[in-house]
Amino acid sequence: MSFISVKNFAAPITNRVNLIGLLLCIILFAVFRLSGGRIEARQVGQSGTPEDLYGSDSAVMRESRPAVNPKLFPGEGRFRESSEDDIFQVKPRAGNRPPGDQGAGSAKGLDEIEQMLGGK
Amino acid sequence: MEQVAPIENEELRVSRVWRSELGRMILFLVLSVGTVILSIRFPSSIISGPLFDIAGYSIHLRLPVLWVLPFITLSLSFLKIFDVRYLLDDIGVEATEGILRWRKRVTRLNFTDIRSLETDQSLLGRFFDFGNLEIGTAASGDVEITLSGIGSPKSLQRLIQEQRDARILSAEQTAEFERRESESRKSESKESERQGPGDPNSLTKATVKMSPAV
Repeated sequence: MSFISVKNFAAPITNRVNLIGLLLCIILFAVFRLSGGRIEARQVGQSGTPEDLYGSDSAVMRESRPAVNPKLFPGEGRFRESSEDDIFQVKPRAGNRPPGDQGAGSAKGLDEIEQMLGGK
Repeated sequence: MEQVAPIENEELRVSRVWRSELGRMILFLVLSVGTVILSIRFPSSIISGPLFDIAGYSIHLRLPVLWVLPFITLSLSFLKIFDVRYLLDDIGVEATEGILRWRKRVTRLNFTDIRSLETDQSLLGRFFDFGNLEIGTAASGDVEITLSGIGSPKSLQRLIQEQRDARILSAEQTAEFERRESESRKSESKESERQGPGDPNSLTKATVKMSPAV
């Protein structure tokens, strides 16, 4: 009989004791996964993001995310009210403003600077 | 020689059955369900950490601590089931213990040395047909091998009993045959001594002399 044969492949499941043993191992692994256990490979130097740490596919992992208590962080509501676009909105500096957008206050300021420099 | 049918020229492997670990199996299932429920209820019981680095990757494990309980329960059952192996061949019974441990112990008994066969079954064992079979010899006067947690111990007891009886019977027949052989040999030698020593042709001559008268 050759090493790779149907008989050798079928050997572990021909015995009922072995078959039940395999079944119990499958149950144990299923319990491990359902409880939120897993083994993962990360590239060295790559820090895990919160999504990596808590996962995105498991109910257990969704449950395990820390909830932010608004009482502990009173300023939290401000950020919640503003949209994500507001956070990344870049306000133009004074020098980059378009010509028509300059107010009267800023013109007054320039006059003061000219006076200080002795221009006027 | 009488033919011994069931295990002549072959081996009969007997192993422990899972139903002999019934209590631990029930505990395993209860702990499994409890682990899943409690791990979802208390996510802080899941610990995480790096195991080792390989080929530029770091292997991380997230382990639910409660999962260790069903794991230990099942491991103990595995140790009990696969640690022993019993073998019946055409010579006798062999019990190998400690297959998964450092120290391995092999006990072998010939069928002809077996003097007592006792079955030991609990109430659950009688329900689910499993139990222990204790084999004793005349040499020790005590139980030499205990086949524990086997299925259908009564039928195995009957099989070993048949094998033993058949071998003892055949041994007795052989002894009887040898005794008769030796007796006939002795009587022949006595006869030859009575007829006189030295002349091997004396019997032939006597026969030849007698033949004309007949």
